[in-house]
Amino acid sequence: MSALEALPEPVFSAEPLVVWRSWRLCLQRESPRICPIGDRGHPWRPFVPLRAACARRRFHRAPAPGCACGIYGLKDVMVLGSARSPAVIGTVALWGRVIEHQLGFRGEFAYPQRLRLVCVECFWRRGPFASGPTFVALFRRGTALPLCPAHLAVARECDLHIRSVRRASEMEEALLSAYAVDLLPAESSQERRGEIETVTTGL
Amino acid sequence: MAIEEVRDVNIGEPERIIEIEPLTVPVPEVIPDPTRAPDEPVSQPLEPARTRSGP
Repeated sequence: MSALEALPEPVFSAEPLVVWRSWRLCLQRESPRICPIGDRGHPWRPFVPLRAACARRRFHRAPAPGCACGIYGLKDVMVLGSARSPAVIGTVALWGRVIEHQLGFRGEFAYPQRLRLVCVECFWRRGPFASGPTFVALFRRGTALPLCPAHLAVARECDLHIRSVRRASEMEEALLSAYAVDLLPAESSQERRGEIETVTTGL
Repeated sequence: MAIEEVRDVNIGEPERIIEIEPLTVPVPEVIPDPTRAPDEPVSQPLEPARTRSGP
């Protein structure tokens, strides 16, 4: 039995799902952009919904049940801690065809809803809402990494090739302005989990 | 169309398919800037002004 045959009949909804997600931060012509965590991803375009396509160039609509394609989102913000080098966390709206998994979703269309810069080291050590970064270290090829003062000092001691440093508050404001979205409030993860659960059970 | 495939977070087994056709697409509308020239890119606050002059 194929994965498609094993799933129940699709359910229909008129409400987009709002789920958790993390991104890399990059600069495109000096303007901050969110990029997929994976190395191949291009920056998400402001004011344009992202549409999924299968990376293996299979001729199917993405996301497909038996494939790994689609735009990913998570049910629980704490699971973001296992993501590779998150620089931005937030919520994203998914719509079109959405496949629900045990811990998250794969969607066909997506657009960010709320965003927040995070210090990746603080995020891994103390959770997603531990503290905000103070600086954004800029590297070659437009790579940007939000860091708290302590971890910026560590990055300099490790001789990372930091090209320049900007204030995180200014970069975050520019990011929110670029996508015309709001700041993700620093609330407890329990409250945020509840919000996601309400959305998913409302289908 | 963009390719998006993230494998570093395991989201478990698929459980169901949801077809969502939103009444309102959750994407902010671009508010036209009356001071912007027609061929100028949409507002991006930190982007520096670019000149079109040759070398």
